[in-house]
Amino acid sequence: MKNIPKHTMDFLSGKILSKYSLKALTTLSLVAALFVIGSSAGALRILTEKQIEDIASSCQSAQVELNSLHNGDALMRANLGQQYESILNDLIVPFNSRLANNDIDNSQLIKLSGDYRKALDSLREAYSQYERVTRSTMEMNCKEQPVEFYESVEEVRKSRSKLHKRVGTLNYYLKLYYKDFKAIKSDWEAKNG
Amino acid sequence: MDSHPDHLSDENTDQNRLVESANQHRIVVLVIGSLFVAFVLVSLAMTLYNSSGAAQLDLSRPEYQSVVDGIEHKTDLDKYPSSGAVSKKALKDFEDLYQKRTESIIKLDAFGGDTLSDEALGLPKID
Repeated sequence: MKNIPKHTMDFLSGKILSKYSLKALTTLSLVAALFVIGSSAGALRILTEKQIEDIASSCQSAQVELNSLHNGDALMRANLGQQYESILNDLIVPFNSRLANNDIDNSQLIKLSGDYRKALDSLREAYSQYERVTRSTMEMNCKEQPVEFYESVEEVRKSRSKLHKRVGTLNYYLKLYYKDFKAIKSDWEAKNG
Repeated sequence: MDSHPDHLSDENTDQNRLVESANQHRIVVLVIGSLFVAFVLVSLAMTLYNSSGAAQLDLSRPEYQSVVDGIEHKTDLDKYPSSGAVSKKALKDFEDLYQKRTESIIKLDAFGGDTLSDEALGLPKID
């Protein structure tokens, strides 16, 4: 106990806490409150009366546009999903097996295949979310709730952008797989002429 | 010795009446029971259909009738054989097949673009 500095002892015994804690806690709470208000203000968009009126008057045609985009996206999702799955099941998996059957080290390719499979699952999940948000935006009574409608459109934008990123991730793995395949190919050619 | 208390004998009589009544209306009980079981099973199936994400991918729903014809049913896609030796030709075949199948989807900027902008949706421009 002799080695413990006086300040630490004061702190532990509550002397400093009682002196400074109120000020410190008040300052901290203010900073935290300002941070929370600031971040929610960033998330919420303040619309003027004129903008709200304009949204209410044009939202039904926006819902029609959204519906047509939604249909096109459903088709794209079906065709694209089929192609991504087929690349995995018809090309990647059999090629990995063939290398393994011939005792060629393919650990990197197997790891990439796993990552690709996970990315494909994420794409499915992201599409489900996007579809759910888009559907609820299309079904909303936008004339009555123009502000909520606009916020919902922003949600749709975010989910579509997330979907776009998931597609980008899958394409990234496809490119990486090809790069690793090239490395294995040149390695094999160097060994076998 | 075998005499039961009065309230037990009343309960037995009630039960007997219930069984008798059910026996008399067997068909009605069967129909109501079947409907109840069907309702429970359908509710369970619909919950699973919606929660699993299948609902979001199901293009057989009426609202997708217009786009169903656009689905490409590719059944004749080449499949790379998983057995066989690794040779120069086998590697070349894989490379050609892989490039052919991946090139088009990598180039396609799926779900990208500015299709949801205020202008594209016909909404007033809001900064």
